[in-house]
Amino acid sequence: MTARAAREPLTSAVLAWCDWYTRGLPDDVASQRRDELASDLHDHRTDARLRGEPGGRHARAVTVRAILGAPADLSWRSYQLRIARSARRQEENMSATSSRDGRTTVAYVLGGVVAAWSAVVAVGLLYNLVAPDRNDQDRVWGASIGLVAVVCLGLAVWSVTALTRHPRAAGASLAVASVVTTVWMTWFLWLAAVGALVAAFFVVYAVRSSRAPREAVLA
Amino acid sequence: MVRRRAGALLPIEERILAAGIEFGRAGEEFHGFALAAAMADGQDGRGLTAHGTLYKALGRLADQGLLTSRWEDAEVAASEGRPRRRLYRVTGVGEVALRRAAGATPAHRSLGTAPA
Repeated sequence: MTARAAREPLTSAVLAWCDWYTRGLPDDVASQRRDELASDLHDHRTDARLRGEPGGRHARAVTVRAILGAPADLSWRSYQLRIARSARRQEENMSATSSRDGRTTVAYVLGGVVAAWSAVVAVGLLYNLVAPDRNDQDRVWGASIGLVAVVCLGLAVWSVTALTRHPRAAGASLAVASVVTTVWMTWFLWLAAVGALVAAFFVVYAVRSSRAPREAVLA
Repeated sequence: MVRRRAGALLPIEERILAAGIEFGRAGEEFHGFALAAAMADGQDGRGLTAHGTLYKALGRLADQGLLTSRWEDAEVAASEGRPRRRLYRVTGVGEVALRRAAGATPAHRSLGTAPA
């Protein structure tokens, strides 16, 4: 076997080791390490040939370099994996934050709608108190539901201002307000259904918002 | 990665920077094998620095901004019938870091002969 023929499998073995310890790393990191090592091995071989170094001696030198460097290769791999993991987590967090931001925007808009609707209901029902053509039963009914609507309006206004500070309480309050101001409208079933949907959104908003800080800590 | 005092250099990093500065004085960039050969020349028959040790240290120095690197033009490498090289250069920050480290280095450990 010639010296050159003996060297080629050694180069392949060192590059196979490189392929093993770069597995699972980002493609650019792995390919750069492989290219750099391939260049080193080539330059080392060329240098040995130019200096007329015996093939066995060159093979020993490459083997020693590969073996002595193995612990550093593994620690480099571990460091690169940590970087890749950290980058992945950061990306996931950004995506979660963006989704949270979208949810909060929708919550503000719907919170505003619930507050406005509560105001309409309160004014409409309290009008029963002063309208000349209402009977006593209408006045009592209008006043009591109207007062509940006023409470809902207060809750909704507070909730909209507290959505980011107290997302759980604000979400729950808006869910209650949207149900209470629509559920009794049995002659507008679609409105009651919309109220239930809005309430469901705020329940989900409250639950997810209460989980968010824990996810952030874990990340 | 190695935990150590901020700004401190490991012996191999000092040797890389010292050899890299010599390349720079000659107006040359350097690549991994040339660097290993240059470092081995000043070491009384010690072998070439191990692959893993060398490239890990080069990456660390580049991450710290003490070295810059670029990949050689693939056409140049192809015309010479070899894989393309990653070429390094010591930055001004790297030179300052080496001077600072040399100032803090005990007298018996000169840059050219420091152990790996």
